[in-house]
Amino acid sequence: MTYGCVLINVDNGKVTQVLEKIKRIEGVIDAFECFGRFDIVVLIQTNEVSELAMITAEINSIEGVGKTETLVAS
Amino acid sequence: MVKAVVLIRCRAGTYKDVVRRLREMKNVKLVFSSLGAYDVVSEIEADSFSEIGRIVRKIRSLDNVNATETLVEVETGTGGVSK
Repeated sequence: MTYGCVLINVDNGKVTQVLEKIKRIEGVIDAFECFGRFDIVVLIQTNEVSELAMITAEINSIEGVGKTETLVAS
Repeated sequence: MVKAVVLIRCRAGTYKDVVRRLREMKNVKLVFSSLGAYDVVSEIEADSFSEIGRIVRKIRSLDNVNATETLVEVETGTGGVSK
């Protein structure tokens, strides 16, 4: 079991629609909007690191998602 | 219920101690150590913003915690977004 945290910057005005898509992804245990350096925080739980990579790739492919930073459990 | 993610940088070589102390705190829902910009990632949950403040100050007062960054949940007007 491994955990990850994805910090996301979203294009202006697209936070809600991006969040709706993210929370439907399997493996996402929590996702919320926040203020400050990032717009969305996502917490992920998977069996393998490779699955984590697939989820981050899926998040990156969502329209409106700009820069992302992924923190992986070690 | 208010949630926040607290990203922590520890004094070199002490992340295990910080993780252990965080796991003892009842408002801390998830903790893991990480490589890269931050040493420890934690998710906290509280009844109010002021309680989030209290918990973050407690985390910041722990030995070996050098710096923290807190990302606090905000309502989006869509009836909540958490799973």
